[in-house]
Amino acid sequence: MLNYAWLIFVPPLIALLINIFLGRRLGRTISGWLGALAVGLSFVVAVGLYLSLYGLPVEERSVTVVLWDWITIGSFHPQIALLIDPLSVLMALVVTGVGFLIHIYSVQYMKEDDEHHDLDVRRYVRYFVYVNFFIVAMLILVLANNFVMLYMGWEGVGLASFLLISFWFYKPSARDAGKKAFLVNRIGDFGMALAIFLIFVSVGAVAGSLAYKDVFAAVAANPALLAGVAGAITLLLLLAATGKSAQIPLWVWLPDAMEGPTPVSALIHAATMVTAGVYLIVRTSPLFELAGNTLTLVAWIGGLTALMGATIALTKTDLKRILAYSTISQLGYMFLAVGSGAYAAGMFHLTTHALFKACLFLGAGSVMHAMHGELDINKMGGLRHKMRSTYWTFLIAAATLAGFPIVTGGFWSKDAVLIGAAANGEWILYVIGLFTALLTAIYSFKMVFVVFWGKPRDQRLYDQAHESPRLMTWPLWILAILSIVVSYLFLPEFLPKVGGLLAGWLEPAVAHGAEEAHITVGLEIALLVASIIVSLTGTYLAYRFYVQKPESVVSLRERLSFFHKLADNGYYFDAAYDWLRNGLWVIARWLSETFDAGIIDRAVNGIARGTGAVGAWTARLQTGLVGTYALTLFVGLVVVLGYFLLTALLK
Amino acid sequence: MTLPQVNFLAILPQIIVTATALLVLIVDAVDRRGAFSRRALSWLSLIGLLAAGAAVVWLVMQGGRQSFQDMAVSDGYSLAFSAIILLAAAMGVLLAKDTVDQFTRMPGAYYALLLLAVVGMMTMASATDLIVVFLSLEILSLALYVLVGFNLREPRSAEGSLKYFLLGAFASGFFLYGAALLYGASGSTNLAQIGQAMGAGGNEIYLYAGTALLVVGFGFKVAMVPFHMWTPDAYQGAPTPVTGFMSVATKTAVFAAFMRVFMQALPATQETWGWALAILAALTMTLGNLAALRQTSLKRMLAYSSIAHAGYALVGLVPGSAAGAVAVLFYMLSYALMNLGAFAVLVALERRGENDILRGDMHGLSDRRPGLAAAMAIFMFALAGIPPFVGFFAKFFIFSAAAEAGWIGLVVIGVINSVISAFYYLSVVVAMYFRSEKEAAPAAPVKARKSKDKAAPAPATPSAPVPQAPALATSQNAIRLAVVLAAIGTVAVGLYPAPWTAYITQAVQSVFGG
Repeated sequence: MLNYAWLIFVPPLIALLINIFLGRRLGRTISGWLGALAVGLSFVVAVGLYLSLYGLPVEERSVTVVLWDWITIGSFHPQIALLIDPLSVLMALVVTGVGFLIHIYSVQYMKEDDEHHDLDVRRYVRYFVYVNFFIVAMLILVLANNFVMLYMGWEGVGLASFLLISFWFYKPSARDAGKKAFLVNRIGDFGMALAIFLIFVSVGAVAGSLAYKDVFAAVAANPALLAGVAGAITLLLLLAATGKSAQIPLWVWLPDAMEGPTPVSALIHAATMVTAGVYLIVRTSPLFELAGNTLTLVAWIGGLTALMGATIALTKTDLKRILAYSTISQLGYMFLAVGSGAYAAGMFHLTTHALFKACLFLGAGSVMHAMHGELDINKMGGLRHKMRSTYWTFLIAAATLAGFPIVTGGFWSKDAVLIGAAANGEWILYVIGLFTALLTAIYSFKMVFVVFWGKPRDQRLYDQAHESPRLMTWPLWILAILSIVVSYLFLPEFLPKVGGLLAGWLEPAVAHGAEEAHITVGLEIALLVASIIVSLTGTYLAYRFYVQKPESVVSLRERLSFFHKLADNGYYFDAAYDWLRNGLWVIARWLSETFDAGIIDRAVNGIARGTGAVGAWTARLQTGLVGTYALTLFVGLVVVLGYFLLTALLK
Repeated sequence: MTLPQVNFLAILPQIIVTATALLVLIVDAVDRRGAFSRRALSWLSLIGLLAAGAAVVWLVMQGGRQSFQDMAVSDGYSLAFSAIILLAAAMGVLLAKDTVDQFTRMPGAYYALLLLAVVGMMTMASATDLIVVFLSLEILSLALYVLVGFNLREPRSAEGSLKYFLLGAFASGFFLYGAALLYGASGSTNLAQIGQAMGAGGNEIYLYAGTALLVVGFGFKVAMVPFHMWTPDAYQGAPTPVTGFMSVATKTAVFAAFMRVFMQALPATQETWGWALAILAALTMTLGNLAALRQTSLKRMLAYSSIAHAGYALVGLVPGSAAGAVAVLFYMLSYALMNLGAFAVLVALERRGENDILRGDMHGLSDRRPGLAAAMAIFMFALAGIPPFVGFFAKFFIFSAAAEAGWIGLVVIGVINSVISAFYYLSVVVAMYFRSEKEAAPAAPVKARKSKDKAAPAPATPSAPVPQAPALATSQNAIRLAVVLAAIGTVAVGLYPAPWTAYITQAVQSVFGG
């Protein structure tokens, strides 16, 4: 089975090719189902990979499947090859599984969007081409066995994200959001490209390839290879990860990315692509283990992003924006976990988050359709009577996000993260994480209470509201149930035998953090109790603020107006970037105007046009333009010659 | 004294192409009116180029090194470059096949000049003597000066040609002077002998001054900043098939000679010219990309982009290592595929009598001509260096060769530049896919259009039925073929570069060792 791992790419590739060439003729229903079922088939392959890997002894659970030799330059010999190991298979399962459900949801959702956006069939088909392309790129990213292929997938998902954010391109806001996402991600990609070069220069020649296995083996055999550059490499990788995963300081693109269709927000900007940064750090953990300071930085970035994201989420009233900041905050938890060396906990939270956040976003999409595109939660209310399935699934997913004790997956994964931080001795980060958990519980239930409870705030919208068709509610139910069930696969180690499954499963794939959660059972139970208390307190506070005494929120907001303003404005990151960008733009314009003679040329052109076309160029020649060119050439010559002569004389 | 060895086999491809050029001229002269011969001329040129290509392949299979009087050789290195030049020339012929009537009434002269330029370029790639380098430089330049000015209806064409010619004359002078100084320093014009003499120590001032002048001479031809000023004007003015051909083939030929001269004759001053080229490469990349950002004319944008690409290729020359030479050679192959593809798309879109495409003209192309838009998107991503297209590996090898030799700072600048360049390449994709034709492009002022086209309805009228555009080139089959070939190459070589790199590595190592 493992040798046929490449089959996982085939269905979406075929589907997207068919849709490109025949989509218009196939019509909406067929092309949509084609895209969705293709991802379903990929999921089947992913399950097959999981089962065959599970059948192997633990120490053999890392298989390289060579597809073809990519290139040979001297001793350098990268291949197109897939690395099938527990980590990549877990990611593949998440990508194809959640992806499949979101595709099915999209078949209906994008059809309904026709009413709002007047899509013609070509755009509908193109949507499925783009999302299938995304699935392929994301699978390349997670299944690659070397850094070059990783980069290929990395760029591919960035491109897909860009295409889908600007999907409703006639909205200027969507175009701007796409541009912003692309811009910010280029900064991250720049880090990625440089990191790969540094790895190539320092290790690649010795290892003979850029495959993870070879690089890590070479480094393990001779850590001196990375002497001096380990810090630089890991910092650059971290830069790449913060870009893709929307962490401080590159988080600003994710909230705007909500301009894309809602299923895209669920798939790319919550469940899969944005977790690529976490995956990257886990994948390269053997390098990060050599640079302890970077790892600490990862943890701090994660902790602070979690806190700031949660505070911003509290202040927002746009349903999708709340979820976006919540995603940033939850990604922060994952960074906190991997930065503390608790890689398994990070991946655990990644998995549960993918399920419950996808469910929340899809639920938000369902609400959005019911409310005719309205996203302001202050215009909703009482919807639980009208949208039962959406309400219940949203409630379950929100409870999971809030870490509602014992029964939800989110509780256990968040607890694993916090225990990881504590085990690493980062008690300040632990407290930050715990406080963030409180905020998380508040804003999670705020969404539930404001949107679904109480009385309708906008009667007209409420009267028209209706439950979404089954094609949209079924994926919601599956995701909601999974986000609860999944927790029982990954319970902590001190619980009965099923516990610690994920940690054991990931064992062959990740570096062994020295401090992999070695704290006493007593302390662990104490921390667990703390988590329970915090989560319940948050839920109660949300109930008090948003159900019992809504007026108390207003007075609280006034008392904390400074912090409220700070958070509501996203801590002024956007403003700072605008300021920076304007500055850079001025410099770039100055440079290019000085440099581009064509602009001078154009000015002259305008004057000369009056004198008739034939005379124009002779006239221009006499304005001395060629003279300017010749002068530049001559100055260049003098400088170059001067440099060479000076070197000769100084020798 | 041994008698020099005369071996016509060594210049077999050049002989074939020269003969074809003469044949084209004769056919054209004999049959002045015939519509038949007009079409036949392009076929004749293509057949000649294919025959030369076959000769190249045959010589490759012969292996070894054939030498023509120690002046020019045919070795793996020269043959690899020749193959790229022939590829570019074939594309130049294909692109002109259906459009040549739009810019000239002398198709015979067009094809003949193009073929003669190819002769000069291939000779340049195989030159092992400074005299031959200079001669071939002049052969190709003279042909190109005329080709740039070939569009008599377009004032910009003549203007670009004149600027190119005037400044090119300067640059040739510098080159010749540099060659003379090197002769003075070493007592020979043969590259290998210069290398030996300088290794043993010669007149240092002559050597360094000569090197500097050669940098300027070569730098001018590859459009290196600050010797690039002619490029945007010449590229924008020239008929588009010429622009595509010269942007690729000239660079390929000059880089071949640039590397052979500097690595074989001047290793003694490597440290000095390495630094000079590094600084110039950084300037070339940065300024090329920054200027490209603000262009609305796609030809002018691609002109600045080609300046930037010359900068990337220079990075590969900086370390003076075999790995760098391999990277440059591969870069030229990639650049030929993706850049000629982009120009082929422009030719396909040009309306009769026009010589330029604005970014606004691309709006909604994905709806009007999906295949063409998809191909253009591939070329743009490849030029931006996004995997899996061929441009990615091209940049990867260049940068890794430089990084291996310790030029980390230069690599950082290069990577930053490729980040910048993504913006303008992507803006084309955005225009094709995310703008509808109806949107009267505010980003595309009419400025670059000639006054006679001002009445052209394209950007001005927002009325519902899109006005029928002026006729496109009558038959587009040849252009389509060119687009498809380039697209296939861009994707296939990117996905499976192994055989190419294997051959290139072998070719370079047979000359430079390592």
